[in-house]
Amino acid sequence: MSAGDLGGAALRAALFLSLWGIGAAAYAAWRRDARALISARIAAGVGFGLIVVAALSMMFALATHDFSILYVAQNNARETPPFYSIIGLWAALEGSILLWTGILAGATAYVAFRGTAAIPRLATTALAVMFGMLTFFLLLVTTPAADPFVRLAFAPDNGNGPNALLQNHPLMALHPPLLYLGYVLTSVPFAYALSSLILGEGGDRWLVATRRFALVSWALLGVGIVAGAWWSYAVLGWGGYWAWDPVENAAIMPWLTATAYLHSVMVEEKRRLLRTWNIALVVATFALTILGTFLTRSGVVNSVHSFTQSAIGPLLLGYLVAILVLSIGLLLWRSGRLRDAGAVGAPLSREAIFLFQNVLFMAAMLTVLLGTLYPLIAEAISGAQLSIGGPYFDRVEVPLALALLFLMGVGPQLPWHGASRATLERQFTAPLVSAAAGAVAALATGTTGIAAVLTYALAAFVAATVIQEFARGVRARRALHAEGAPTAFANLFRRNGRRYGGYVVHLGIVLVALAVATSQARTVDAEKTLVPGETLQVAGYTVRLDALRTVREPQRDSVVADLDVSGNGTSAQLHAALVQYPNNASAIGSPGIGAGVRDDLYAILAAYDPKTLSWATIRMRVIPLVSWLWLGGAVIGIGAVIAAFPAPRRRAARHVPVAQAPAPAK
Amino acid sequence: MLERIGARRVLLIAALGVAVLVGAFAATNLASSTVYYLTPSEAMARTISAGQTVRLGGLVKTGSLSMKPISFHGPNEFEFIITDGSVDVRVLGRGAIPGLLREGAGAVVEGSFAADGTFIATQVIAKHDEVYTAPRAGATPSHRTSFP
Amino acid sequence: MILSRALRIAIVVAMLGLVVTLALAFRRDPHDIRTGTVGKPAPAFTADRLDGAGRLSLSDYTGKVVVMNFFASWCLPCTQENPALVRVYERYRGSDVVMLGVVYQESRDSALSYVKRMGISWPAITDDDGRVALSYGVFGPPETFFIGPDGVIAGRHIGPIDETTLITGIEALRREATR
Repeated sequence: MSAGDLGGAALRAALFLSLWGIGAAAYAAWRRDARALISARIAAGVGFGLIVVAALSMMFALATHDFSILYVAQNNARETPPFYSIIGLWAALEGSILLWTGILAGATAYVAFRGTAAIPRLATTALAVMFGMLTFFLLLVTTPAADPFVRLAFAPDNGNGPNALLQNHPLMALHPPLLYLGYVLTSVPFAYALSSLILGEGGDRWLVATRRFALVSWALLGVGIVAGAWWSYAVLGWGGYWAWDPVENAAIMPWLTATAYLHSVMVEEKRRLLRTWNIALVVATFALTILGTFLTRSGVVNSVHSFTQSAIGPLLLGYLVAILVLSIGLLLWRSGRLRDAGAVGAPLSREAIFLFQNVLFMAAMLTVLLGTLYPLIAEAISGAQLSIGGPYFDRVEVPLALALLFLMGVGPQLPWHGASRATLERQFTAPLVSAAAGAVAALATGTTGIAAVLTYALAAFVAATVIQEFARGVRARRALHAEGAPTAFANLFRRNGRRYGGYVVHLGIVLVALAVATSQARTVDAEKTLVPGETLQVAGYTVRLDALRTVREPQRDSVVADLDVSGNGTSAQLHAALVQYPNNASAIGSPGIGAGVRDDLYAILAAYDPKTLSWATIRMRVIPLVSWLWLGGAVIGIGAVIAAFPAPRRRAARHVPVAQAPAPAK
Repeated sequence: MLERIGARRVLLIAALGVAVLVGAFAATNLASSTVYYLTPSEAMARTISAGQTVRLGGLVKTGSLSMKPISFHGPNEFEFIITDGSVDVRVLGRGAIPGLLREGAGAVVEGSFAADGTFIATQVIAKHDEVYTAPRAGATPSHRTSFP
Repeated sequence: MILSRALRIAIVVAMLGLVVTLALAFRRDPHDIRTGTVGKPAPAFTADRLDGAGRLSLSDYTGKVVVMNFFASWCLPCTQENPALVRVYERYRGSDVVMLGVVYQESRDSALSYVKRMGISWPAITDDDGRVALSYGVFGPPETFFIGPDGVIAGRHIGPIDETTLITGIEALRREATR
């Protein structure tokens, strides 16, 4: 029995278990039947195991170059190195969907074993929803729509190899799985929210139960987006990291609604407000992940990786329609039970700022959605083919981002219910002074452009609020618990990780904002044709072309320009290349990047003399602070880990009133 | 209580204000960022005004591609004719010729028409797009038969 | 908060609009880079025959319906569509319909062994410098062009083709020719 047969059989068995699981979980929830629940749990556990077996057998087939499987023949070659062979699992549609299915099965198993133990009825209904979603994906991978194990009548001697862009950088191992994890884990809060609606519970139990899932999926999505930007920067060789490509938009849209949700959830916990709104946000986040998958996998828009066809487009659209009909129908039907237990306080209260922040996040999401879908809308109406350029997104999203940056500083500084004048003075004096200093510093260093100067000012503003919060927290702990400053600092994270981890995330966002503003405003470019030994000057750096040489590897041929860069107190050796993979129409650029805390040196081999290698056209970009973007992504991840880490038990036991709050009268 | 209702109204008005503002702003920017995708014949038929950014898609006419260095070390200037079989458009651009721009091959250029009908390319998009949607060997992406 | 009637309707209408837009998008081919070869005279060419039996020109087939198929042995969908091509070739053998294969980005030897293995008995030409493929704006193999007796490209199919599409395309051109 070959790996392909084993994988295919495992997926088919998992499909039956998943179908069984829908019925068993639904019956268990309806009749409160413990045996049915055990049966559903077994189905979830064994089903997950089977899909892992299928994914491993695909990896095995890729690593052993088993070209009798169509997917392997299309996405692997004998020359593909082992590392890129194995990560070939997500190099194309079918494998990606298999990975997605595996993650979803893992989440289903988690709900089956851990979730149902905590809150049986709600989680068991959610389990039935999870099985429903899992069944859809298992149907995809067991029918021609996305069957990864389709056999070939005869095995070719060699395969095509992976898409050149997907085998040119190790980041490919990181960025898709992170994004998929983020995408798929949004389905857990969605399943619980749906379950809450189905059962007609008006309360917040679903939200408390899935708080950590929402946070983790949001963090994975965020880190995945930054990793994707990094990949784009390091691989695509155009010297940028974000192009408002539909694929990027597809990832950022659910992240925007998820960020809105993480904040408005606090309003519901503290004030029992926004119940309908929070469910709507969870539904929107999940639906946007499916919409994004549809947009990038159905081939209806031009984009990176939109290389697919097959029946998956209509199926994904059908799935999206089913999700929308089901969740909006339930939401409209049950909206009467989702009464809020109060009203929003004064305009200068934390809940009001959160609400306003939610409005801005929704505006950002909807404008990105509009820009992404507008070409489709226009073509549907007038038949004209058009595209929406980056300027639209820049002009619309930058003001929104700046407003959100401002609110990020304001919100945490305001108390719930409303603030007095004295509070405002106490909270905002230092941050406002800091903001002014930031603006002055920006102008003094020659920054031009309102957006950039505002970003510096707001970054200083937010950073000051965060530092102020930490300073006050440490001081309070020292006074109350007689702890030393370092212990008090560490205990802030341990005792109230959600709040202080959140502040760390805010610092990460500040780093990202500074990186984006600086790199967009102050990148310097130069292009020159050089003979080896000659130099070009850019932004205080001297770039010398040392040599132009060809490199032959089994899986590719490259022309490499060796460059020596010196100036501004640093020096670096860069290797910019044009890489030709067999079976690829054109060579792809592989930039030489010298990363630095201050400037990134980005060299592109734009052209060369193919006959004699006597000259090369070098495009050199000096991109300031861009490495802070990746650093900011890491800080966001660390903050999320702190926030998601469970608080010590003693404290957690005292802190459960929301979960036990009685549901409002029907 | 009165204060509460007032707060609610303030928030509602603020939210509506943001919605209207953002909506109007997005709509204006959408219109100005729209880049039409045309064949040379369509561009001719629609009489695109000079200076408006459009994308022009067609074939690079065989024998029309030329590159002349302004000076060896300076940026190059390239020129070719993009055609859809019936209408030819002369395209001028600056910089290195993208690797995939070949005679006879399909290309998409972004830029605008000069007053004399020459197309000034700011970007040869085929590079961007083709790398992205590289005709992956064998995995031909679309199934469509087009009969006029 | 109980959702007002107007809001409910607005939500449903917005979602409906979204879904309809997405569904309509399937009509479009994202890879059609508007080379616009359909409806234009087929670019002329003269090329070496794959079997080495001299050269072949498109003008040799003037007055006939030509089905021109771009293929390669490394192209897996080509192997999928091959049985349909073989059946259609047998069906029209000896008529005014001719089939012509064009090797796409491949060495002669491997193309030759592929042609033998797959039972391709219609003429094929080599396209070493890719000029024929470029002049037709080929996106990638397999791709099939229908050329009428008047030498105009009447249709183009990107991706593996099936028997029905082939016969429909051919018959449309034959009807036109007899009219």
